[in-house]
Order: sequence, then C-alpha cells, then structure tokens
Amino acid sequence: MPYQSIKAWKEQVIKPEENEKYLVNGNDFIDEETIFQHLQNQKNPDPQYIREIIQKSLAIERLEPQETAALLNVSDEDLWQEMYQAGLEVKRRVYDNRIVFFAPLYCSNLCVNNCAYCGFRNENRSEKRRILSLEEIQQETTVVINEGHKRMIVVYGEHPQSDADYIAATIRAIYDVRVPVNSHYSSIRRVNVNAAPLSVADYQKLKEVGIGTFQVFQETYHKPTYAAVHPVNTIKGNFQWRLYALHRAMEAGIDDVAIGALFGLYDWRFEVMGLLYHAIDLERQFGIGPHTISFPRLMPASGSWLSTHSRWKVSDADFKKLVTVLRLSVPYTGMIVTARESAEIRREVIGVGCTQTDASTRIGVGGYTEALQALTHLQHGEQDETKQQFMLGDTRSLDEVVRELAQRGMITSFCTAGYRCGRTGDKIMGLLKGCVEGKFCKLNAVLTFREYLDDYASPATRAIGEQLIAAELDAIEREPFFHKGKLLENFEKMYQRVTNGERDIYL
Amino acid sequence: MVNVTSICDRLRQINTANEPLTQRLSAMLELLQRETGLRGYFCQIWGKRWSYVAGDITLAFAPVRRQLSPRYGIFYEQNSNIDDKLMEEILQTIKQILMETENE
Repeated sequence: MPYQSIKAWKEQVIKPEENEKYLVNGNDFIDEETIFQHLQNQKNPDPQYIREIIQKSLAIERLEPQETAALLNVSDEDLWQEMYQAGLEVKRRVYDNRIVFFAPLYCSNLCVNNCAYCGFRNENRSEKRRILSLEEIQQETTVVINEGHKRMIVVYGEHPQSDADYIAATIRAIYDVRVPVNSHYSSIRRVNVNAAPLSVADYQKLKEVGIGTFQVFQETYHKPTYAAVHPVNTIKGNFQWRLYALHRAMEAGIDDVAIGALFGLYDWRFEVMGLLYHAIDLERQFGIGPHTISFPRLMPASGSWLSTHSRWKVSDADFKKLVTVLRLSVPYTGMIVTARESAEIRREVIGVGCTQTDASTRIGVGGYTEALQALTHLQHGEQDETKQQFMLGDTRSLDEVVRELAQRGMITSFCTAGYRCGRTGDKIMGLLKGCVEGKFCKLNAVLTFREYLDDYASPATRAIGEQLIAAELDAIEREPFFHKGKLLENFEKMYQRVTNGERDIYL
Repeated sequence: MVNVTSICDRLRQINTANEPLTQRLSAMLELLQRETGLRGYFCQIWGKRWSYVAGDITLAFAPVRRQLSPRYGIFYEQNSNIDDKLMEEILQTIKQILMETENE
C-alpha cells in the first residue's frame, strides 16, 4: 500500500472526471421524477396492453420504461400468472432449461464504508475482521473445487488492503489452483468479481488477469435513500461514482458487466425501474446491456438495525413479482438468485426465469475451510453472524440442489465456454437476443453435467442425473439447429471424450 | 482457385491502412470471406478470456481456435475452398501482421 494512511488512500479513490463524459447535460440517467411519473401514468393498465408487452418480451426485445411501469402496476392475479409463465418461457428461449452454478468466495471484510444495512461496515465493532492471504485463498478454492464448482464470484470490502492489486493477485491465485480428481485435475474456470467501483486504470489491472464479469450493485437507485444509508463522508456515499462504475469498466475493456439492487432499502417498483434505466444507459453508451442482473433482498446483518427494521422490506409474493418483471423487461440478461433466499423462494423464482444460482455457499471470510474443519471434527458447519455480511437462507450442499433441479427437469451447468470462445460483449448480446446462445448453453450444460456426475455426484444424484442427461441427448438429437454444419457431430465427439475422462471440453 | 500469394499480399495491403487495428482485422476477415468463404472472428486474449474484437459477429460456432500472438487469437470455420496449406499461409501472414502491430 503506497499511501501513508487510509485517509490519504480514500481521498484519491474517486475520480469525478472519469464520469463526466457519461453525463447528459451534467445529469445522470436516474431521473426520479420521470420514474415516478411512469409509475403513476401506468396505473390500472389495460390487460390487452399487458399481453402486448408480454409478446414483446417473448420476442426478446428489451422493454421501454413505460412498459415496465405498466407491468409493475398489474393487480389482477390471473394476469400475474400469465406473466410468471411468460418469464419462464423467455428464459427457456434465451438460455434453455439450464441453471448455471457458482460459488461466492469472500476474500476480505475490511471496509472503509459505513453502510447502514451491512455487517462489514466500518463502525460495526462486533464484526471479526479478516483478509485472506493468497495461501488461504487457495485453500478456500480447493474446498470449493472439491464440491464440484467451476465458477466463482470473489467478493471484497472496500479498503486499501483489498485494492485492485490485491484483487488481481487473488484471481491469479484462484486460477492457479489445480485439484486432482479421478485421473485428471479440476480447477476454477471463470472468476467473476464483486468489488467496489474502480477507476479505469484499476479495471485494466483486472482485465489483464482474465476476469469473467465485473459486478457492482447500486444498492438503491433512489437518491434520498442512497444518501440516508451511505454516509456522505464515505467513498460509497458518492452516488454517481457507483452509478457509473460499470461504464468505466466497459471503457477499460471489461465487456461483461453485472448490475443489481439491494431490495428492501426503498420501494421495489422504483428499484426495478432503476435497474431498467441502468440497462438502457449501458446499451445506449456501449451497445451492450448487463450480462446479469441480481436482486438480493435485505437480510439480517450483524449490528445493523436497518437490516431487520426497514419499512421497505419486500414480501415473498412481491419478490416473485419483481423477479418476473425484470425477466420480462430485460429478456436477454442472465438473472441471479442466491442462497440468501430460502430453498422454497429459490424454487419459486427459478420457476419464473432465473438463470444462475449458488450452493454449498459459505460467506464468512475463510468460511469454506472452517466449515470443512468443523465437519472433520464432527461439528456442524454453522454460519457465524460476526464473520459474514448477512445471514444465508439456504445452506444446502451443491449435490442436494443439483439433485432437486434434476428432479424438476432442469440441468445444472458449470459452463464457462462463452467468455473463452469470444462470445462476449456485443457478440454475446446478439447471440442472446437471437436465441442462439441458449443452444450452446444446452450443449455445454450436458458436457459439464457429465463431468459433475462422473467426478462429484452422490449415487442418488447420479441416478437422476443419468436420466436427465439421456433426455437432453435425445432433445439435442431431435433439434434441427444442431444438424446445421458439423455442430452435432462435433458435440457428439466431445461428449464421448468427456465420458472417456477428458475434461474442460467445450464449444 | 484462390491464389495464395495474392490473398496474403492483399492482407498485408489492408494492414497498411491508417485505421485502428480492429478495423483492419475486420477488413481482413471480410476479404477472406468474400474470396474464400472463410468465416471467423478475432479475439483479444486476457488470461482465460478471449474477448471478441472483430469479424463475423453472427458466427456462433467456429470449431477451430488458434492463438496468433500473445494478445490475439482467431476462431474460424474452414471450408472446402481452402486447403490446409492455404489456411496455414493465411494464418502465418496474419500472425506476422499481429506480431508487428501488437504494441499499437
């Protein structure tokens, strides 16, 4: 750390001049008055209009703000049922029936910010602070790989000790881990990053090490609420530095970026509109929308009164609605539901179009290694509120969740092919909107599920998994798309190679 | 019948244009598609990531991947107009161009 104090480091983080080019007449893209007007003007929408909007979503066209506002104003439960079905159908057209799995890895809970809802906040004295060494990162990675994971999202608090150089070093360390399994090695094939907003120069450091997606959640798009929960004298208190974090990432050449909001800080309808405007502005300025959208709900966090008392907490029923409206509004994007949510809620929202989730999750810093040690000593690997950002709703193992999805006819995918095959940025956007990428999702899901069944699955999961793979192979054989050129022939050879023990084969 | 010398010379000629590298790469693939039917796209390489930079944006599946320089690679779909020798000549020419222009 070249700075003499944390104060000196904090003072140089924000570079307002890097945002200026993205403002329009000095204004950012969140115009609260316009959002409220849309929500007001679309009250009591005509069911026929709603059905026309649904058809637009099914054609994989991103909705306009007034259309999303209309969906948010639907009160007829029958119409919501139509929207739930359409959400799943949109997901099936764009991504097929696969669910991609990942594991979060919390590398550090040191943080200079003081966000009212977060266990990591600086003034929370009950939080046990820790930053993992590169050796500890590799230990954690080894545990994650031994579960069967191939994708990670790494998470860091904002602090000079976890700056861009540290983040880049941890990513290199993760990619370097190779764990023997059967007669070959397994490794993490894609590392996505959830970290504080960076400068263009710092993003370039992460680009160099080959990250997957860079993810920044705005938390809330409502400026008064943002100001109320993020003290003004903190880095995170700067709304626009965060709002344009992903514009700067794009400028640095990171062409897969992910947005999100923390639902429960303000009205969920407003936040959905904010996410839509964020997607629109990324499209407008770069031609590329968000790779994924996340919608975590506020959960109890150590020492956070707000996390349990917010007046805007989102009910389970409203949560399903907001996920559905996001699915219909930005049909091409991936949508992530995490283990924050209970198993029951995850089932519900996967059923309206989520595309990614996690399992076997530990979010305490060093949590995977500790959970493994606890199991070794015949204790339960329980959550420790004083070491994590919030409490999880679902701590089931990857194997259990994979099995449950297979029983529902959904195939688990550990695919990381897209970003290694040049299907990135505007290219993947085109393929997603044209419903072509989903075909590759299907093939790569089968290849990676085959790996999982052979290397990691329990006998019960393997039994149901074999039935699912057989059904998928049959569906692939019958799909005319795969008979173009030599695609099917190539896939069948690849599948045979994986069955024979080769690994990391993709297309 | 495609003339090897001619097509490689024309690739070098495209590279002399006063345009950003990605536009020159794009023009090279347009030429190859026009003259030989070859479809492909170039990527920049960042660790495991191969990010699309130029070429056929609609080509979803290109079975062959070749790294051409420390920073650039290509995915392509060969066809019967191009035998292995011609393909190799083309790739070597592009490789040389990329090596010369890597630091732009």
